[in-house]
Amino acid sequence: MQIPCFSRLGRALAAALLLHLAAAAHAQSASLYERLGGGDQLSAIVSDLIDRSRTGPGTSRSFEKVNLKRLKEQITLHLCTLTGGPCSFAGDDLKTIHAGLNITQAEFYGLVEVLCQVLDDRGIGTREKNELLALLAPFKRDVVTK
Amino acid sequence: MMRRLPSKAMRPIRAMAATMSIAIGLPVHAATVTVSVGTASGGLGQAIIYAIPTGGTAPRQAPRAAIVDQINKEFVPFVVPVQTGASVTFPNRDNIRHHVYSFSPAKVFDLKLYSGVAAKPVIFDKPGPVALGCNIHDWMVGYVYVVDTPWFAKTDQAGAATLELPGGEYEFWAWHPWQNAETAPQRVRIDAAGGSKVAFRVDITTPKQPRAPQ
Repeated sequence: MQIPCFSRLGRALAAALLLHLAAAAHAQSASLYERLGGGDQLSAIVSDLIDRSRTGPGTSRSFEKVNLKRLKEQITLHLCTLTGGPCSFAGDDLKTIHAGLNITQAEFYGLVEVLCQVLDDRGIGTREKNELLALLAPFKRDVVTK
Repeated sequence: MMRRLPSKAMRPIRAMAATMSIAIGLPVHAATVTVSVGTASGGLGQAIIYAIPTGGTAPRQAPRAAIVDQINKEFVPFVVPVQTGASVTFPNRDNIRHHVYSFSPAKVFDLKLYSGVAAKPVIFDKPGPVALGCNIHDWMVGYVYVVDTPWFAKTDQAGAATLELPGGEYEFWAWHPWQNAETAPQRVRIDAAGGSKVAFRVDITTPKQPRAPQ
């Protein structure tokens, strides 16, 4: 049975705790950035995520009149930074970025769902998928304002 | 009985009055000039028209400040004419972020605009067109058109505008953001008694709206 992605998100948080414990034992392991496939794969994931979210009925609203090329670049840069890649995201904090957009919880989970589909379609492993979701989960409080 | 001021004492006051009339730039005998701008199919709104006195520069006067709002992810107004040296503020009336920029030779700048936070005004110190964009919302397009004269106006929906000018000879110019080519200026002698008319034909290409997402 396919587990809905947003319920996976809670699990991902729990997994993140375990990962933190495991991290000490695997200090030498490759970064999530590398295991996801590096910069090209990350840009492709973000590009798919935005293209699908932009047209999805539950997620399209927030992308009206938005410079999608720049948005993709900025998100890729942010994810590269978060996952331990050779980047340094210098944009505003996510709370400022999302201020006034009135993003609902349903829209947030809609986007997470699209992300999970993209990661599945690109053959990203469960461990990497959960790690990425765990990195992103704390931003929910900055993104969802309604 | 009122005591007359000695004429020596009056001198600085007269000088000040003279300076003021230059500064205001609108002598008593200003004539109203009607300017019309049209395409082959009718009147053209949002065109900038301006007059530069021939054989001399326009009088120096403090340029008026202007405002370009951002409302519902649009620049309002779409086009704003200002005199060289004018300061323009960009109030963000939306509750989201904007990031206004220009790469135009007349003014290169960028300004992050947060909802409810006033940003510093931008001084437009060179004449010419300045195309405005928003980094975050690339559908947003607007223009500041900077002119080296205090005599300028923007046409209404019918393509009409008026200028108040002292009598004399002027070069009249017209500009529109969607014009296909630069419009040739017209030399016109303005009668101080008024009634002068200037007409421009400006052919434009209307951009496709909304633009296709990238």
